[in-house]
Amino acid sequence: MKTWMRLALVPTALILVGGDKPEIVSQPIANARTFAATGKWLVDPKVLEGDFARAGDNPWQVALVLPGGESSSRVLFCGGSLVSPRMVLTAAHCVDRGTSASALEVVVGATDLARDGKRFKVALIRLHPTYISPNQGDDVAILELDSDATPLGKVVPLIAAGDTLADAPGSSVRATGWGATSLGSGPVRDLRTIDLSILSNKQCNDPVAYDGAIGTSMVCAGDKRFGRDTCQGDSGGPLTGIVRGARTQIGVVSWGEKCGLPDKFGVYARLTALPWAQRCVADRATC
Amino acid sequence: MQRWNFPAACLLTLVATPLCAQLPPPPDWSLEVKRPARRALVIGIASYDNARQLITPRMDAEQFAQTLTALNFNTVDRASIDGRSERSILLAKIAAFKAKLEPGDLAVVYYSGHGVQVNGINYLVGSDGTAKPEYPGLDWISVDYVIGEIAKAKAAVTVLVLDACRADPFTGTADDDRDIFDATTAGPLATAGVQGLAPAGGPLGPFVIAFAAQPRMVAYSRTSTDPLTTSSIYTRHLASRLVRNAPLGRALAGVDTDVAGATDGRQKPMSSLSQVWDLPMDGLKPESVTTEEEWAFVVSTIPIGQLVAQLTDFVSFHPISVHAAAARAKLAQIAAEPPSVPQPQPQPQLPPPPPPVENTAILLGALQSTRMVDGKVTAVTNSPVSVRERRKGGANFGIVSAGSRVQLLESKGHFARILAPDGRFGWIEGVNTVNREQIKLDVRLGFSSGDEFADANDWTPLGDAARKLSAPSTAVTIRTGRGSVSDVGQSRLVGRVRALRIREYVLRLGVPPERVVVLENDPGVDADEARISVLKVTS
Repeated sequence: MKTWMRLALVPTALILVGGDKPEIVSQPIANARTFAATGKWLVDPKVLEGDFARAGDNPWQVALVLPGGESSSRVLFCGGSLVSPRMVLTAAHCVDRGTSASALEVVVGATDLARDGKRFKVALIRLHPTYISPNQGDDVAILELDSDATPLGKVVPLIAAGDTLADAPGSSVRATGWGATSLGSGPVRDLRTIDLSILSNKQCNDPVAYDGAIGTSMVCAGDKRFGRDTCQGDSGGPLTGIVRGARTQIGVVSWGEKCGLPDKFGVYARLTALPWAQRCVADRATC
Repeated sequence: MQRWNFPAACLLTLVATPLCAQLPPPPDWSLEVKRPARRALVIGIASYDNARQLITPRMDAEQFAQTLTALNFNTVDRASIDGRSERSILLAKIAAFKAKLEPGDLAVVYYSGHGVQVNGINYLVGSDGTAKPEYPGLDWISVDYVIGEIAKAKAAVTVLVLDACRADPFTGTADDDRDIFDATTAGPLATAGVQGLAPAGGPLGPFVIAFAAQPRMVAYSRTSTDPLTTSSIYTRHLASRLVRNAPLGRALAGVDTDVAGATDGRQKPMSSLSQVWDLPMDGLKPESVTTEEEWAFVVSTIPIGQLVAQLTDFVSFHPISVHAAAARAKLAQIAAEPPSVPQPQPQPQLPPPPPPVENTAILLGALQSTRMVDGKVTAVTNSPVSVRERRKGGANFGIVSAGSRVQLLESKGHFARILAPDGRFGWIEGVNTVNREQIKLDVRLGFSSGDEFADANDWTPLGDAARKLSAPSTAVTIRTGRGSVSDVGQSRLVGRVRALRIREYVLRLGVPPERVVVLENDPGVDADEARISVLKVTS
C-alpha cells in the first residue's frame, strides 16, 4: 500500500464531515469497497513488471478479501502469509483504524484468486503494539483465523530477529501478490511474483529516494530495471529470501512513493528488527 | 469596473435593454493584484571526473542567467560559475531553490551539461558521475526527481530547460569533437555510440520541458567556426528569442525554427507544454486586455459551483497572472468554508423516470455540469450536499463541500449516485437533469476569424434569439468549439473567452445564473462555432 499516493489523491476541495457515524475500516478496505461498487481502483497497482507465479510455489501466500459467501466474488484489498496453522502475518495498515475482524476474510490456497482456495473467517486482529502508521514503521499485524488453514496452505518460516545476514544489501528476495499491474486497473486474477534486491538503508535514505524516512524497522528492495516494484493490493504480502537453503519470510510489503518510480524503492517491514512477530507466532500470549 | 474590449462592446450593442446595464462591481476578494515571483536555478557543468569535458556550459549558464535577469526575474541562483558541481552540491542547490519557492511562483530550472538516458529515464550527470552505476538515480540525478522536488513547492508553473543532449559522455576521448557542427561534413548525430535524452511529457499540471534536441537525438554544442567563448547553438537562440519578450510557448516554437536552420535541419529542439497557455516571461509585462476582460467575467460568476470551475480554469489558463493569487485564495476559502448551508429537502412528488446518464445534457440544482474534460461532462456541487448510503436512508457518509468535483455514476429522478475523488460514493439529492430531447431551440454562431477578436456580425443570431433565450422555465447551455488559431493553448483560450462572453450576454437577458451551463471547448462543436441551446426545465 502506497500511503503517500492515497494522500495525494484527496482533493483539497473535498470535505467530508459529520453525519451519522460511518463504519470505520482501513483505507485498503475502503478502496476495495469502492472498486467492488464502481469498478474504479483509486490507488495505484501492485506487483509491477512481475511474472506469473506457478501454482503451488507460494503455498503460504494468502489474500485478504471483503467478506462474502464461497460463491461471491473475492474483492482483494491486501495480501498476507500463513505463518502458523491459524495465524496470518500481514501489514498493520491493512487492518488498522479499528477494523473489526468481521470486516474481512482470508483466502488460503489460491494462485488463481477467482477459482482456487477457500475463505477463512478472522477471529482476532492483533496490531504491532507500537504501530502508528506505515511511514513510522512497525507495519505488521497478526490475524488469528477461526480454524486451521494448513489443509489448504503451508506455513512459511519467519526469519529470526537479529539475523541480519538474511536481509543484507544485495541479497536476492521475492515479493508476491495479486495487486494490479497497470495504473487504475483492479487486482489481477493470477498471483504474480517479482525478484528484487535488498538495498541498504543508507541507499534508501538518499535525498532522491526517501531522504531519511527509512527507519530501522524498514527495509527497501528494488531492481536496477526501473518499473519493477510492488504496489497497492500487494500490501501485507510476504517478501521472502533463501536462508540456509529454505525460503524464509524476511519482510512484509508496506509502503512507498507511488509505484515503480525511479529511485522510489518499495519499502517493507523488516522482520529481523521486529521480534514481536516471531514471539507472537511462537506464543500467542506474548502478542 | 469596466474593462470591455472591442468584441465585447460589439456584443453589447446587439440587444439594447438588458445590455445597457452596467456590470456589477467586482467583489472585494477579486481586487487583490499580486505579481508572482519569477525564480530560476541555472546550472552549467563543463568539468567531469569520468566523462568527456565540455566547452560551452559555462558560457551557456552565464548567458541564460543574464537573459533571465534582463527579463526581471526576482532571483537567479547559480549552481557554480566555474563549471564544476558534484552530485551532492547539485542536490543541495536544488533543495535551496525549492526552499526559496513559494506557491504561485514561476520556477525555471536551466541545465547545460551531460545528460544520460537509461531505460527511458533522463538523468543529469554531476561532475563526479560514474559510467555505469548499479542504481543510476543514486549516482546521477533523474530529471523526474528535479521535477518532483519543485512540484512540492507548489510553483504555479515549472519550466525545465535541458541543453544536455550531447553525445554519450562516457565514450570517446577527452578532446572528442563529435558534437561540433561543421556544415561541410556533418551528418545526423543520433547514430550508434551516442544517446540523446528520452522523450518526457512531464507530470500532470502546469509544466514546460524543453530539450535541445528531439528524443534520442543529440545536440551540437557549437559550430566549427564559433569561437571557444560562445554559448551553445540552442542556448544562444533561446536567449535571443526570450529577450524579444514573446510568451514562452511562442519563443520555444521560434527556437525550433532557428536551431533547425542553423544546423541544416540536423538538430531539432523539442518542447512540451502541459496545461500552460499563457506564460509571459517578462516580470514587468502588463496583463493583456483580454485577460482582464476574462477576469471580470470570472469573478462575477454564480452559483458557487460554477465559480469554482471558472476560477480553476482561469488559474489553469493564466497561472502567473496578477489575478492568479486572488483566484487561488478564493478557491482555498471556498474549500475551507464550513458546510453551514441547510440541505435541500426531498421533492414531494414522485421522481420522473431516470434518464440514462450518457444522455444527460445538463445538470441543474445541487449538482451542475461545468465543463468538458476529455469529452465528458464533469460536475460540481453547487452547495454542500449530504452523501448517503442509499437514496432514501442508510448511513450518512458526511457532507461534500460546495464546489467539489464529482463523477456522476447514476441518476434517478432528483437523486444521483456520485463518486468523490477520495473514493467515497453514495447518493445525493436535489439533482435536476435535463435530456437532450428537451432542447427547444438551438442557436448556432459561426465566427469569421479564429482569434478572440470576433466581428460584430458574428453575434447576430444570438441577438435574434434573445426573446426565446429568456423565456421562463428554460435553461441555457453554451457550448463553444476551439478557435482555429494554430497555437493549441491560444485556440482553447479563444473558445473559453467566447463562452464567457456569451454567458455574460445570456445572464443580462435575465436567465437565472443557476440555469446557465457553460461547456467551453466542447469537442462536439466545430472550431470557430458556438451552440447555444434552450432547454425546457420540468421541475
